[in-house]
Amino acid sequence: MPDLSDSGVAELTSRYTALQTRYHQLHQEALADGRITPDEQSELDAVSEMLEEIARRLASSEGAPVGSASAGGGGSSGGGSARSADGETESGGFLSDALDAVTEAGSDLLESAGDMLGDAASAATSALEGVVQTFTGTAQEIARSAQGAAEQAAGMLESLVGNAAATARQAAEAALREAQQRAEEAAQVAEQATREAQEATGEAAEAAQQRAQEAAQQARAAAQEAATMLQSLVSEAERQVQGVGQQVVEGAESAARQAQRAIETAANEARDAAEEAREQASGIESEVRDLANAAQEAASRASQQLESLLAEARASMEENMAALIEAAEAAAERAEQTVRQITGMGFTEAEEAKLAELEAAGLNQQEREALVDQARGNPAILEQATAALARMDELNVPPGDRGELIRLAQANQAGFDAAMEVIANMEGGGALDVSDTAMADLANQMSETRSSYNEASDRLQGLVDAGAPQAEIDAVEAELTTLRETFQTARDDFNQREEKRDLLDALSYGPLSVDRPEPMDAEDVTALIQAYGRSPEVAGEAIALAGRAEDPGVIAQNVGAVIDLSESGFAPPGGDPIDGADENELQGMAVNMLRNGAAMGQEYFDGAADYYASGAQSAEDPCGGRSGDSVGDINNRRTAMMGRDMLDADGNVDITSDSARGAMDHMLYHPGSLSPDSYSPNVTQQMQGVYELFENPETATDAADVINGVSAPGDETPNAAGARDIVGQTMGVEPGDVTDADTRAAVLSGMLSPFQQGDAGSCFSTGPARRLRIEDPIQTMENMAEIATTGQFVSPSANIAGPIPANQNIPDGENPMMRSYEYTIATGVAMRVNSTQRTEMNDGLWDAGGNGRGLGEIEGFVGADVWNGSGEVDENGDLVDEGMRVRLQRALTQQLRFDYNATEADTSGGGGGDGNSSLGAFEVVYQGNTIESEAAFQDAVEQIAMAAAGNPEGETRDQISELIQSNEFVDAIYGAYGTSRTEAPWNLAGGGFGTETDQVLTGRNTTEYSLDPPNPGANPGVQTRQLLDNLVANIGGAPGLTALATTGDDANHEFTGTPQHPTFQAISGPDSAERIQEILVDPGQEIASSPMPEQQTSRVYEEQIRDMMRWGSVRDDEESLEALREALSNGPTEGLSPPDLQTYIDGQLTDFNTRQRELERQDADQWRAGQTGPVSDADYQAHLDGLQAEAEARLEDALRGNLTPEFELPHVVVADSNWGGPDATYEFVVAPDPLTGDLRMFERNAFSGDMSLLGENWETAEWFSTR
Amino acid sequence: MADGLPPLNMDVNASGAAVVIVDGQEVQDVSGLLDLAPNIVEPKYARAYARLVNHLTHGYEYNVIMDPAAFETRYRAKYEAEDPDAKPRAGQIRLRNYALPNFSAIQPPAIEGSKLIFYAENAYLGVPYRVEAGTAVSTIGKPEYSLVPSTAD
Repeated sequence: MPDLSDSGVAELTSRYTALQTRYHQLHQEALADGRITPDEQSELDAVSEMLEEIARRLASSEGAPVGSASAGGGGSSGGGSARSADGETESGGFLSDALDAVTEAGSDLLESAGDMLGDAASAATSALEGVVQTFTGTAQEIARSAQGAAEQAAGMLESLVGNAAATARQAAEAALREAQQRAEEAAQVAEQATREAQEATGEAAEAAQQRAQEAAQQARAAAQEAATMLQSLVSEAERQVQGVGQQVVEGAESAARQAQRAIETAANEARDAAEEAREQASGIESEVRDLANAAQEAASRASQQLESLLAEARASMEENMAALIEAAEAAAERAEQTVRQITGMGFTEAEEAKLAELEAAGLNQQEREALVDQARGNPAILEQATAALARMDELNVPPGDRGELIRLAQANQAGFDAAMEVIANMEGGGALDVSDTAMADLANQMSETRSSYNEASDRLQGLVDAGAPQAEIDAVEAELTTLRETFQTARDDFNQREEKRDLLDALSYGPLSVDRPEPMDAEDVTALIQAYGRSPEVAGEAIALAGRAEDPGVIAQNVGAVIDLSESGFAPPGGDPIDGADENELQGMAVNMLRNGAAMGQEYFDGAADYYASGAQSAEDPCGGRSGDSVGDINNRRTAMMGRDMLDADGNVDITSDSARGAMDHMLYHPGSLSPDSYSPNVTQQMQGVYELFENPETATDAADVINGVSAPGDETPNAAGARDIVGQTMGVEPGDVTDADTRAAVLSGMLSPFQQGDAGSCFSTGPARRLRIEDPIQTMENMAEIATTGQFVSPSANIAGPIPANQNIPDGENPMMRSYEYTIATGVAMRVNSTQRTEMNDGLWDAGGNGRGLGEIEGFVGADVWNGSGEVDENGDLVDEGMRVRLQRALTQQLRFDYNATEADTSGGGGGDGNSSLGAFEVVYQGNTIESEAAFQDAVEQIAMAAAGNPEGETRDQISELIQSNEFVDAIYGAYGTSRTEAPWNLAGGGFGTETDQVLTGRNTTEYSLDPPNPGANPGVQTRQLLDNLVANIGGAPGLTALATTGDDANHEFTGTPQHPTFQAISGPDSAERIQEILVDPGQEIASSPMPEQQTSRVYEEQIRDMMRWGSVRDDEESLEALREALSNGPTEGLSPPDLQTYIDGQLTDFNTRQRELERQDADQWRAGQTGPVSDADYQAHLDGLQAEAEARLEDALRGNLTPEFELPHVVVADSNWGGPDATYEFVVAPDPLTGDLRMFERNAFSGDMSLLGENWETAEWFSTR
Repeated sequence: MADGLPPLNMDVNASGAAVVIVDGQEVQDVSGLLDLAPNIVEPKYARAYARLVNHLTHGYEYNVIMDPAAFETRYRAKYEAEDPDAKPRAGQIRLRNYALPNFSAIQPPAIEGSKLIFYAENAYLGVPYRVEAGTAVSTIGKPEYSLVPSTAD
């Protein structure tokens, strides 16, 4: 959080100015080097100007009390020095971030450039030092060499002179000249090398050059000295030679030749030394050039980095420009307001007085100044506000709600008056303090009372167990009675206050708020408020429904009449209330009427008036609604009744008949249908769909033909008894009495039932069958008719061996017709899987792939005759001996079964769990036992083989056993399932088996394609986004429903993609990425990053803490409860974003978490003590870590659960899950997580709109589409 | 060896098809069988013919019921062994998913006129089927498997 105090702003400004200076320096250098073009310069100048403008504004706000009048408004009090966290945090954050970004970029740049130049300088210095050393050594060597040569020549001459002849002088002089010449050449070579080095190294080589020149001079001086000495010696020699004879001349000539050779040698050495020096100089030059290049490259990189960083800074500036400008404007506004406050020139004295008055009434600065400003043009506004505030003060409306309610009064005075009247009535029994503090105190009081009650209960039990005196027991019982009454009183008080708070929340930030993006019409708001005054229970739901409805008016304008009905006990005009309904049930019926109306529109309420006027509601519900029977049984009666009532006297379908209309009205309006105990909107919707099938001209004839063609099964029908049994179960008649009409009604009953996975259903058959039910209801009706009339289903696929008998064994409470159809299909699928899965197993058993050893080897053990059999027919006309091979093939086929286990792979973790049948899988079963290991499989095969061989003894037995128990036999089995050696008959992969169902149901051959690979452990947000992209790419734009399947941990499922759902279509197409960004990602990020209103923040916080108080691990631990009570008393006092709220909660749960860790350690200790063997410290720690991770995940999930309903989360429906029940149909939707903004997979009840996270296991599972 | 019948061996060929080896020659359908072993349709060979027809039609998915009484005993024992209170589940194969078959209808294989009639147990489901097949190449068609009528129990 940036420090936006005066000193903080001053520091920022200072940092900013320093940064600017450094930026300009670097920039000028770059410009001077020609690394920035004029165009770029202009652009940078513009950025610079903008920076300066911001700096100027910053500087101008330095003296102002920061945040004295921020745009955020709510929550501030106490005048000019108060802060508004909303506005301040936002603008300060942008500004600080921008400054930090630039500062960081500049610092990085400087550090980087500095590092590079430092490196280059070091390298150059090092190289030059090498040059100097090399040249110095070389020059000295040259000098030494030249001097040595001269000395050697002089020495030789000196030794020769004594014996030389006069002729030797010329030779000696010649030798001397040559020595001088060679020495000069050596010096020149050294000088040339020096010059070259100097050129190569510039000033850095100057020292080397100087030393080289000195060496050359030394060489010349040495040569000169040698010459002088030689001259002297020669003169002496002349004198001596003149006195010697001819023989000396010859000796001198010889000596001269030797001297010449010596000089030549010395000269050659000097030349070589010079050449070496030249080469060294050349090498050094190259090295220096490389260093120069490196330095140049470093400079270039520095330049590029500079440009990159500048571009980054520029982009950052552009990105945040709007926010920066906003921040600057806010700063200017703050300065302006400060000036106005300091000078008092902004408001008149009267206005100042009014401002003070408004402040005292609880309005924050923004609200009160806005009112005073508005009043300048319309003084009545202030009068209206003053009156409203006075009224709210009387009614104990918390300050945080008052600004919103004044705006309500401005927009809708009638609504405001209605709200005040409702609250006044609520306060009739006394003031209701609904401040956060008061509500927290009351909640804590209830919690403490409950703890006391539990403690007293335990104490009472102890007394009873110990046989304590009755008086002691009576005393504790009296104590319990008092505590119970105390709790009840507190709870009633809390509930009463909560009704008031709920209304205020709805008005201040909920569905009735005038600040909503699309506020409701004023008259609808007023109507809902008035209804709330009559029945908070009914109208509270009405407000929520209206908030989600496309046309809130339908709810708002009918809620009053619905409450009338509820209050009258659903009595007909002049009649009596319905029997036995208490207020709660009547209110529940009213709420369910509103739910029906929200789904069906005004038409529903229009029909209600006629129905209730008729008195039909007073008749007892023939379906058993309100009877206490199970919902399943009641719905079975409803669909049976409706199926029967859809037929006319001749048994033909007629949905226009009074009976058909009456049956539908019964579902829509009868109290038995509306009772909360058996309300089934999903069934009602399904019924309406079937009516539509018979009304729609495109389907009506075909649909009627199917039903009217149905007749009761005749005796000639193979499974007539089975068919009659199913019809009888469906219609509640004896199988022997089943008529044509019963049979037709039974088919209709099946069609009228929602086709969803029951708690004992299996997705692999439900998914495709439900898909067919939606896309081709006529075909589904024909399939059910086949079951009802023949007791069997004949698959269109030739791969199903014979008709499948209709399943007559249906779980209680399920529609027998519909479930028999589904289960019969499931049986066919199991038959098919038993066949398809066998192919691989047989390939392994007989080693078709040559991967090891197969059962064919047994022929060699038993001999061809036994193996093949004789093939003869005996006197009974039967095959005498079919051979071991046939017996073995048959036994393997029939005794190694592929059976479905609905609870296979039952692992902990999220997902649908059983009941949604996300767990089931096929497994290999032998003699009733599942084969779960390689050894068990080998043993089973061996038993089968031995039996087929006639249980031989001796060598044959040993050979068969050795074969089947060999590693090579297992290799062959694995080889048939691929190369991974993971899948095998004892470890079959899970899967949807939708392809088999498609084949059984439609005869179509389909194939599964992986559309999103499994990725366990992946970031769920990233994974969900990838999954959504893959779904769009693979099924987006498909014309109808699409088969989908998943395989994964607790996520094996077969279900249906919904590419034609409007929300899915909205993100499909070539610009899918942009649409996803616009529809899901951006709004999600906005939700996760924006502060909620203060009241909403407090409410979520309170719900979170109170939820935690009810957790099993908490409610019985007083220490944990006390920590939560403390936390409840320290709720947030400002609006927070969801993640900030999570941080705030974490901060308040320090004591609670400490206690939880202690409890987890106790649990882990108990766990360790309960293990049969020793537990290592590592295992113990892993167990402990698991407990903590589980607790932390639970905390986060709970918060997410409390946050999710607070937002209208944007979502895309990607699939129909098959899951649901009488009141629910669940969809798989992708929506942003309000806590993080990341996209996640949720399950959503299509009726209520309730959403909950589906679980990472689904997001990271492998997803398939079937085509 | 029976009069006029070559050796008859069942098998599954390399491609997984159920076949009959008639004196060394592989046939894959009943017509082929009748071509190579025309005497198989004599009433006295009804059992052998039933086995071979059943095998050529559905491989090892059905077992011909040669002894109806033994089948009934076995069926009832299995039926009784199943938990009557177990919750039904889709895809779970149990005899209690169905009413008891009319056992009295089940008879050993027989050739009556131009038809072979036999009963076969679906090895996976355990329930019996009635099978009717022709005895001449011209009428053989596809052998028809239909459910044995169940009782109202």
